[in-house]
Amino acid sequence: MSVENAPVVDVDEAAIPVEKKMYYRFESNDKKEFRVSELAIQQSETLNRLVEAMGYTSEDVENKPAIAIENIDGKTLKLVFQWCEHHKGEAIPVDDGSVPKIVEIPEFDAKLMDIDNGLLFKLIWAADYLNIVQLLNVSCKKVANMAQGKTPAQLRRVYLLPSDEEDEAAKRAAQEAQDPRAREVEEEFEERKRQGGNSFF
Amino acid sequence: MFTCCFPFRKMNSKIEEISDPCHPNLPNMPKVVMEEVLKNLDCRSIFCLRKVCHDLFFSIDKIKPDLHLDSVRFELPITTSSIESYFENSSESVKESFMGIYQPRTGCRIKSRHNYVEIPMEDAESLLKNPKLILDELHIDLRLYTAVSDAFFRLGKDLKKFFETMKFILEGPQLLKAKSVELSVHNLSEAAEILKFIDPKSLKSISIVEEDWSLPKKRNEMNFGKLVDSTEMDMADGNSEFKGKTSRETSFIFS
Repeated sequence: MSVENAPVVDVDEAAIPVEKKMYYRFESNDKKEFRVSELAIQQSETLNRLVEAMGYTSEDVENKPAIAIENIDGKTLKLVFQWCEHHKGEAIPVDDGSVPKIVEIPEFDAKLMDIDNGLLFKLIWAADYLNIVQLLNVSCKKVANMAQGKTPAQLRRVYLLPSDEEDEAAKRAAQEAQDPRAREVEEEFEERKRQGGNSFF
Repeated sequence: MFTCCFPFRKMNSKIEEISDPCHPNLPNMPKVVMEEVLKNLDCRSIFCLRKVCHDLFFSIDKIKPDLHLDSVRFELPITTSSIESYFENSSESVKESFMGIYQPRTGCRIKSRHNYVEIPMEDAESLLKNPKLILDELHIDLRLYTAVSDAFFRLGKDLKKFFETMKFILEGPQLLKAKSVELSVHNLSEAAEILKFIDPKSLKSISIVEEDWSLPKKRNEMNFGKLVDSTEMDMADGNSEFKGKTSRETSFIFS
């Protein structure tokens, strides 16, 4: 099944027919609503426990408000639920502690994760937050593959990270932009020190 | 309205505290994510990742990932420029023959899944301080081969410095766990000093080669009993081996 055809229903976007079975409604922090099947939800330990604890019936799902997931935006949540729908019914892998970990990225997952770094890290964060073990495995494998065999300079480019020097300079610039007087005070202090003054005040 | 606003995972580390979905990049990921990424990387990539920025450096050192090392080998670090300085008054042929024996190296070489990687000594320090680390083999080679007295004097100074660094690296809160230790030393007191830092319970075999080509050959009066006493060896099991070898190729096996 292709990524595009994964049966996650984004209520705001399309009227894709939903199969007649138990599903749940979730809402992202930017108010996008999704309908996800009960079987797909089982991939997320966190959501599975939540819906079990709520004890919703089909009527409740329709009549009660969607379950809000406050820390995840719609774009990320859509990827998460697409992944869960595609892998519904699959066994949750158990970590056997082997290093290096043997993880294969299926074609569907590779396509799903063919996204920019920012969104990829949001997806990883969401996978961890919602405790979706296999999604966390494949997404971390993708991040590791990006690092394999690279020098520190290449890694900075891959992960779009500044060097420590660049980071310090950016922080200083941001601080100065926020409080231009701070720089003047610092310069005045340095000048007084040069002139031999012991106290600034 | 039902809200799925779960608390963040337990805040048990600095990494966990800074995990932030609003600024999604690798240093801001939760500890469990960093651990997963590191599980998929070989040791060379982990050392490179550690050098990307301070945040990753501290995250990785805190996690202390399993590098799955087969062996760690320490040898006196030698650079092309140091060879030039050792033999500044010597002929080119002497320099070349020395180069033939000693390739330029950083001091520490690690072997992981049949791949050899040279790492700087400061990386070796954090590597050996990992309490999860159990080495299959630890090799320490402190020997020098040169008949040029000037060069030996200069090399000897560097060797002394290196030996002190080695002891500093090996000295940690826990004893280093290694199944097999192979030491190439100038005298047994060097070996005894190194063995103090190894956990005797992890040891299955020790091999000591005592050779010094810079000195006139003499019969080595080796007292392995004394060495064993001084390091209070309590080997891992009854099949453990203790081999000693002198420049006269005499070997001893203790079971």
